[in-house]
Amino acid sequence: MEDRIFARHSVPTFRNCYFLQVVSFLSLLFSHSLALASDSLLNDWELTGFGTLGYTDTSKYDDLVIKRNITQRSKKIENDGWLLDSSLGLQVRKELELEWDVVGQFVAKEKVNNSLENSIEMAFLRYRSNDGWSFQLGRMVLDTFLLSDHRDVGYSYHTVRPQAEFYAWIPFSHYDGFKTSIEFGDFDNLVRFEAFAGKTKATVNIGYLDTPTSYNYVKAAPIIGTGITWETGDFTLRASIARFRFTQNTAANKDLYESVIQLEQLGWAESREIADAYAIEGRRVTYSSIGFHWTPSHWLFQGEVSDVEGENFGNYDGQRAYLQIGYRFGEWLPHMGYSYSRDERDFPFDRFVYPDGHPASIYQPVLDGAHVLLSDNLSSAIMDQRSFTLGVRWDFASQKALKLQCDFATIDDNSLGIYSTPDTIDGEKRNWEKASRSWCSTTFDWVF
Amino acid sequence: MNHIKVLLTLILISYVPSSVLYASDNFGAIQVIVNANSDVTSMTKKHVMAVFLGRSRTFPNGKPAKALDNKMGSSIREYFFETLTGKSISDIDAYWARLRYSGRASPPKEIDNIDEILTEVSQNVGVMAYVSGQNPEELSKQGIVVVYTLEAN
Repeated sequence: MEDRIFARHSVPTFRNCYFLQVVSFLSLLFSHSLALASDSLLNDWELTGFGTLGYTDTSKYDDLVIKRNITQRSKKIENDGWLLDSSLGLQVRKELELEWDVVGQFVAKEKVNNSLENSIEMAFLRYRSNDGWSFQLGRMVLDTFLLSDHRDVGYSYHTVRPQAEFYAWIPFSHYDGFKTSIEFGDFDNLVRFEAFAGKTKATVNIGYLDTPTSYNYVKAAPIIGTGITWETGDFTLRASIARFRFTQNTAANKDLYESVIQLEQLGWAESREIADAYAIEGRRVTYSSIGFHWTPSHWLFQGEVSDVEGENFGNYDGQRAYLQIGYRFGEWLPHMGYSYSRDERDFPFDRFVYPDGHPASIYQPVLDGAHVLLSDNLSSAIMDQRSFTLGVRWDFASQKALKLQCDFATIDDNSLGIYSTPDTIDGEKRNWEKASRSWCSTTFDWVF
Repeated sequence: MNHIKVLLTLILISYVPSSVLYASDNFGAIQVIVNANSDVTSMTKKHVMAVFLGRSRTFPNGKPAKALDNKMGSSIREYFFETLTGKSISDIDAYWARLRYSGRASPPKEIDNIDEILTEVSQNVGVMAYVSGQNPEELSKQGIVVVYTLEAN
C-alpha cells in the first residue's frame, strides 16, 4: 500500500507539483508586467507581518486535548501550551502599476505538514480595474467564512482564536486557482460578488495518535465557490457557498479497507460496504454560510451560521453557529460568546449475527469487536459540542494587543472531531462520554 | 517550533510600546486635501471615509484616488480616524489588519511628516491626505485644495 504520508515527502516533479507550475506561470506574468512597469523589481516592496505569542495549559486534562484546528498535531499541542495559538506571518506586496499588484504571505504555525510550500498562504497576481472588477491568479486564502481569510492574524479579531466549533474543522486554509470579483455601490453601500475555482490540499491529524494512519493527507479538486458581501456603515453581511471534491482516499481509509476485506471472508458481506462508506475519494462536500459583523458605536456583534453537507457519513455533515457580543471601553474590549456545532452523522450499520448453528459462529466475537471499532471510527470525526466564551482584549499600544479568554466547552458522547482524547489505544474503543471542560488562554498579538 | 518561539521572543523584545498612543492633542479641524488638478473641489464625509477605509478607490468624478496616511501611532492619525469613523484607533488598525492580511486591500501609505505629505499631494493628481492647521491660501499656492474639513464631534 502506498503510504501518502511518506509519499508527499518524495521529490516532486515539475509535472506533478501544481504549486511549482502556478509559481512559474506567475513568474512569467510577473516578468511581463515588470517589463511594462517603470519601477524596478527591487523597489517599493511592502514588507509587513503579524504575530501571536499565546499560551494555554494544554495538558490540563488527562483525557482531552484542546486544538485550534484539526491540522495541528494533538500530541505536540498537549506537550507544549505555547504551540496552540502562536504564529508568525510575513507578507510582501508590490504594486506593479495602479491596477496590478502581487501579494505573497508566509505563515509559521503548528501544523502536521510544516513544509515551506505548505506554509505559503498567499502568492497571487491581481488585476483591479477602476470600475470594480478584480481578477486574481495563484494561491489565495479561503474566504468562505467571515474569519477564514485572516484567521491566523490574531490582531485582526477580538477573541484569542476563531470559535473552535465553527472553524476548527476546516482543513483547508488556501487554494491554488483563480478568483474574480465585482464591486459596486455608492459610498453608503458596497456590494461585492465573488467566485473562485481551484484545487487545495491539507494534512490533518485525526484523533490523538501520531501513526501514519492518524496523519491524513486530503486533497480536493476542484474546489469551487461563490459569495456575496454587503457593507453599509457599521454593518457587514457575507453569504457564501463552496463545494469541493476529494480526489483520493486517506491513509486511514486505505488501512480500514484492507482490514475489512478479511472480515468479508468471515461472511460479513456488509463490511466492504462500511469501508466504502468511510472512503472519501470522489465524494463531495458542500458548505454554505451566512455571517454578519456589526459595530454600532462602541458595541460589537458578530455571528455566523453554516451548514456542511457531505455525500457519505465519512465526511463532514452538520450545522455550526456562533454569536459574540462585545463593548469597547477605551483600550479595553470585554466580550462574550456562544458557539455550537451539531453533527448529523450516525453509524447506519447493524452488527452482523450468524444464524444459530452456523459453522463460522465461533468468529462472532471477532465480528462484534470489529463492529464496535468500525462504529467508533466515526467518533474521531463527530463534532457535537458547544462552548461559552468570556474574554477581554486590551489594546495597550499601537498595533499591539493582549488578550485573555476562558472557554467552557461541553463535548457530547463520542464527539472527538475537534478535541482529541489520549485514551485511544490503537485498535480499541474511545468511549468518550459527555463532559465539560474549560481552558483559559492568553495571547499577545501584534502587526508590524 | 523552538526556532519560532525564539524568533517570536526576539520580536517581542524588540518592540517598545508606542508612547504616543492615546495622546490627547487637540487638533481642532482636520483638512482633507487633494491636488488642485484633480478636478475635485469638495467631498462628503462618507466619501472621505470610503476612500480612507479602502471601500472606494475613486474620487467623486470617477478618477482614481489613493489615500495617504500619517505615521502609525501618531496622535493626528488617531484623532482623524476616531473623529471620522467614531471608532477606536485600535478598531481601525484591526480592520486594516483584516483587509491587508486577507489580501483584499492595503492600508494607505504612511508618510512620516507634514512636509512630505504636502509634497506628495502637490506632485500627484490622484492622491488624497489629511493635515491640520494649514492656511488654505498657502496650500493653494502649492497646488493643493481642501475638499473637506473634519470638525470634532
